[in-house]
Amino acid sequence: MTAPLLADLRRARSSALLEVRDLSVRIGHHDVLSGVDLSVGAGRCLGLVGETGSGKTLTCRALIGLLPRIGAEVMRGSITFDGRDLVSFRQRDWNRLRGREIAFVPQSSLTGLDPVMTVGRQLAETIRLLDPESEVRTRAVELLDMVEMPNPQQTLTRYPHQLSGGMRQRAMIALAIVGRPKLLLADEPTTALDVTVQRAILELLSSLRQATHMSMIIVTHDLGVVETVTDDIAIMYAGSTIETGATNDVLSRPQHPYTRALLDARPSARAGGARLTTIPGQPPGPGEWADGCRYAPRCPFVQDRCHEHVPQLTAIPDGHPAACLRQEELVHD
Amino acid sequence: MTEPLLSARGASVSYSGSPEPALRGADLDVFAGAAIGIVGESGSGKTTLGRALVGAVPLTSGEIRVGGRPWSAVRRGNPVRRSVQMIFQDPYASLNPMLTAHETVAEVCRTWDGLSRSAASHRAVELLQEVGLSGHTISRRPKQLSGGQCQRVGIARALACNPGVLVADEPTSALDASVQAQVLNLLLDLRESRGLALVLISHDLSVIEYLTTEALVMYRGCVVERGSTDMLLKQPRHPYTRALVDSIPGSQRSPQLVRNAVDPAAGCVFAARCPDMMPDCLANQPPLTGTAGGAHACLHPLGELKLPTPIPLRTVVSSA
Repeated sequence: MTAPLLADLRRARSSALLEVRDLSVRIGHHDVLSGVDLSVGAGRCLGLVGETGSGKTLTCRALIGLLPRIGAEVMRGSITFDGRDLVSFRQRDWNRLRGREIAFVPQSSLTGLDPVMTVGRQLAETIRLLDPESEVRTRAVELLDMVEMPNPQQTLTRYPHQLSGGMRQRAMIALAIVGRPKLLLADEPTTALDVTVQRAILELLSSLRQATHMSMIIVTHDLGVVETVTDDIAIMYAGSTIETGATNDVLSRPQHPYTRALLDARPSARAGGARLTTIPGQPPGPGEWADGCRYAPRCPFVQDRCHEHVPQLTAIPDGHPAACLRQEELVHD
Repeated sequence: MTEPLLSARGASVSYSGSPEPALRGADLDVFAGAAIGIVGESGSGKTTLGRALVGAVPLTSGEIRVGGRPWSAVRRGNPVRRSVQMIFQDPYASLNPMLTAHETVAEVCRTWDGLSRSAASHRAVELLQEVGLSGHTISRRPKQLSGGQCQRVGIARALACNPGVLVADEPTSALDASVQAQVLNLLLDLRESRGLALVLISHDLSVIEYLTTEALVMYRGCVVERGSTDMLLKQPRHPYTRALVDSIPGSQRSPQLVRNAVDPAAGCVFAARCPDMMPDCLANQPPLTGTAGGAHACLHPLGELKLPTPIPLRTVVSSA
C-alpha cells in the first residue's frame, strides 16, 4: 500500500502541470496577494480554501490572465503552466491559452449564461471557434452528455430561465470544457445550489476528471466539498497560502493554527451543547497587514517572534508545508 | 402539558400567480425552550413556513395560534406580537442602512416598550452587549460592519422585544465558517440564558444537527418527515430525507434521486423524484403518520438504513 502511494506522490511532484511560486499581486497601493505557492499535478484536483477576502478568486484571475481588467498586476513570483511562464504572457498569448488549455467556471455561473440565447446557440458559438462547422451539433450534444445533462437534445433548444440551477451549472461546465482544457478552474461551483444538487455537481466533476484526465482547481470555502472531491488542498489567509498538502493529511493533521481553527469551527466538529471554537477578531483587509505573520493578532499560539518574521511555507519532516514558525511544536501536541 | 407558544394546524399558503401552494397544511407546535429545525431545498416552503409563524404571511387556510389566539385575530400593538421574532439570511439587507447599530436597536425599545429616549438608548447598549457588540462598533452603520456583526445587530433587535420564540431563517448561510461558529455559539448562549425557543431554517444539515433537537423536512410545500433531529439523520424513513442525508459531503452513499415520468401535480409530492415510487403513490399525498416521536408522509417508508455501499468519489491517478 505504501509503495504505490509514495510513487504517486513523487509522480505528482515531478509532473506538476501548474506551479505557482511566491506570487504577489498589487492593486493600486495595496498588496492583495503576497506569497501564494501552489502546484497542481497532472490529472489531480486541488482545493483552494479560504474565507471571504482571502484571495482565492484573485488567485484564479491571475491563473487565467484576468488581472488587468480589475487594475491588478503581478509584482513578484512565477506561474508556470505546462513549461511556460504565464507571468510574461501578453494578451495574444492569453487568448490562445484561455479556454483551450485553462478553462474557468466563474463564481456567478448561475447568472453567467446569456438569457436571450438558447443553450445550443451558446455552446455552438464557442464550439465554432475550435471545431469545424460540420461537427458543431454533434459536439454540443456530446458535451451535454458529458456533463450528464438530462435530455441533451431537448436542452439545446432551451433558454437558461427554463433550466434549474443544477442544469445551468452543468451547461456552464459544458461551455468551459469545449476546448478540452488541461486545467479547469471552478470558482465556488456549488455555493448557490441545493445540497442534493451540490452533491450531484461534485460527483459530475469527479467523473469528468476520471474520463478526461483533466486537472482541476476547485475554489471553495466549504471544507466538506474539499474533503469529497480533492486530492490536494491549499489554505489561504489574507492573501497568501498558509498550508498545503494532501487533503487527507491536512484535514487530519493540520499544522497551521488557522487551519486548525477552521476545522474546529465546523458544527460537525462538536456534539450538541458544546461551544464551537471561534477565531477572535477579523482577517485583515489589504493594507491592514501587520508585520510578521498576518494571522498573529488572532492566533492563540502567538509568540513575540511571530510579529517579526513573515513565516514561509516550509515542509517539516513527516509533515506537509505550512507557514507557521511553531508548526513543529503544534504538529506534535 | 403546557400550552405551546406557537402552534400551527393545517397552515397553508398560496402566493397569487404561483401554480402550486407554497405551503400545504403544516402542523407544528413550538413549546418554550424548544429547538426545531426546518430543512429542505430552495422552494420547499421553509421560509414561507417561517414567515407564517411570525405572522408575516397571511394563511390561505389553516391556523397559526400565538399565545392561544390565531394570528389573524391579533391586532397591531398587541403585546403578543412581540413574542415571536425573526432574523434573516442576508444580514445587510435586513437592517436599515441609514441607522447605526445602536439606533436600530434603540428604535425598537422606544416604540415597543415606550421607553424614553435615554432609557431606550441605555437598554440598546445592554442588548448589544448581550450579543457581543460594544464600544465604537455600536455607533457604526451596516456598511461599516462585517456580516457577522450585522447578524448580531439583527439578533439584538429581535431580543429587544423579549421574545419567547426566535425564528432564524438561514442565519449563517451568508457567513464565513469562523463567523458562522460565533453566531451559532451566540444562539446557543441565548437559548440557555433566556430559555428562548428556536425555529431554525437551514439547508445545512450540520447546523441543524448542532443546534436543534427536533426537525421537519419539507419538500414542495409539504412536511414530509418530522422527528428528533438525531433519528432523522441516522434513520431517515422518507426517501427525500435520505437523499438529503446522503448529500452531506463525505457521506459514503450517493443520493438517490430519479426523474419519473409522472404528472408532478398528482399524488405524493415526491413521486416525480422518488427512487422507490410505486403505482399507489400517484393517488394522494400521503398524510404524516407516526407517533409524536417521529412521523413521515410516505406509503413505502424506508426501514432500517441499510449499511452504506461505498461509492468511491475520489478518483485516484493510476501510477501506470
